[in-house]
Amino acid sequence: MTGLLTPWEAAALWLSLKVALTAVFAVLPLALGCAWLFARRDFPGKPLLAGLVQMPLVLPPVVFGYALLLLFGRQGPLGGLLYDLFGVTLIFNWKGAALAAAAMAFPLMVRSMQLALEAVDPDLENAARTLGATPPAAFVTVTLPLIAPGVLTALILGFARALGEFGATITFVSNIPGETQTLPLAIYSLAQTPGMEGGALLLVILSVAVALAATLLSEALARRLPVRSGADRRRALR
Amino acid sequence: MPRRVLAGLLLCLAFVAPAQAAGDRILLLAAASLQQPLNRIADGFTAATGVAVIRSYGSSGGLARQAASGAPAHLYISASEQWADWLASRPGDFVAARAVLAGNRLALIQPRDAPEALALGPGLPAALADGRLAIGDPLHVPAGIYARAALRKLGLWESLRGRLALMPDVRGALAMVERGETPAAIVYRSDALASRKVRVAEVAPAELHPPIRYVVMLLAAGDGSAVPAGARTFYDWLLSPAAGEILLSAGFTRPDTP
Repeated sequence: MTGLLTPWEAAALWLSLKVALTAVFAVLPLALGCAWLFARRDFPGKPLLAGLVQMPLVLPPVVFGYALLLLFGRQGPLGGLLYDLFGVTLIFNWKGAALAAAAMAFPLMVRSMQLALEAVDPDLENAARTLGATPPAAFVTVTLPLIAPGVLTALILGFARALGEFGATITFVSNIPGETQTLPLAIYSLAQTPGMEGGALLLVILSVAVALAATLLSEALARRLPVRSGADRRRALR
Repeated sequence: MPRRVLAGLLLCLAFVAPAQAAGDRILLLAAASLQQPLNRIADGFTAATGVAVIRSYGSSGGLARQAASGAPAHLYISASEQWADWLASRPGDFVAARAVLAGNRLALIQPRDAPEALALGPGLPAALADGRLAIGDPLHVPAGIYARAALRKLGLWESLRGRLALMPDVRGALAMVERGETPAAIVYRSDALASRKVRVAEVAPAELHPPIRYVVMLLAAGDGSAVPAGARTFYDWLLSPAAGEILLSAGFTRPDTP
């Protein structure tokens, strides 16, 4: 495969995968926690928090990238803190690209896992607890298997969103080959360059291939998951 | 065709048609670095003639691609002869007239309040510490192409290429220094003069890079239609001594001087 691609294109592909996968898996626990909170708990300010979580989905990505730049840039309050405390720089860095992608993927991931959680009958967890399971054990052994398709959907949707992230990324971490230049940014650069149409087209085809591969993989995984709903499980318990 | 779709199409036409017919609006695609002086020149032109000039600023490479792809532009101003030549070489008679509008110089800039003065020399990589040098993306941004040429000639390209922040146009590189996100950038001298938050550390010697020439082109819109009179008048207006003075005061150089 790499024989077909120049090192520059291979770098963009590899970086895209690295950024999207890092973003999605790093943010999964937090998204699951959020989904659980929204599905199972009522607390003051819940609508506000739910609204805030959806912000990256609703805001224009450029606005979000600009906000990230102001917050996490070297001169930003959080970026300065990260640098002073841990020596971590996010701006102009693939970690910053992953942060932008993760923030963009987060609302979609919360949403699909929240829907899956809401479809699970809380009595199933209660039943497990009457049988002696601690709440975390009940969650892991009963709830998690039931929402596995939802988690998978969250990963796929999140991955797709992370892979396609453009506006926030180019605004926050700029367009540096090998560091922050993911496939969409590489395509943008080529599309801006007179005489480079062929290169842009190749990367477009590559993007389609990656997206298609991800979709097929998710379909295959979904088929291997046992199809279970709360109702099935209840019937099984009886 | 369903009636509603037809009605929608007609509605769209109603919005498009007057703009096309009147010819009192011209579309200008121009290099990002020209923003301030060109706004002044265009506003003066509109006040004198009543012809509105719609401006779209960006990287010269990107704008050339747009013009070649059928953007309904009447004028194109590139910050390099390279993209002007590329556009002229496209099939279809694109270019009705062409002239060199101005020149410029390249400058190393840093935040106004930076404690240490930087210089274009072997000490630059060390002086940047763990910061990056912002330049235009040398794939398509002329300022980035000139900057790469200068860094190559200085023997600094290899040591700096992993420590650049590549921006979609030259004003992006300027903004990075304005915000203090990079300790330095290579932009045009005119860009540095347009901002109060940066200072020029060093104007690059002209022999470090190919001469910077802004080329203005009157476009025949690719579809063979005649160039509107307003566009031709604005083309002449751009090359007038009055417009030249505005460009000079903004830090550009005369077209014939390096």
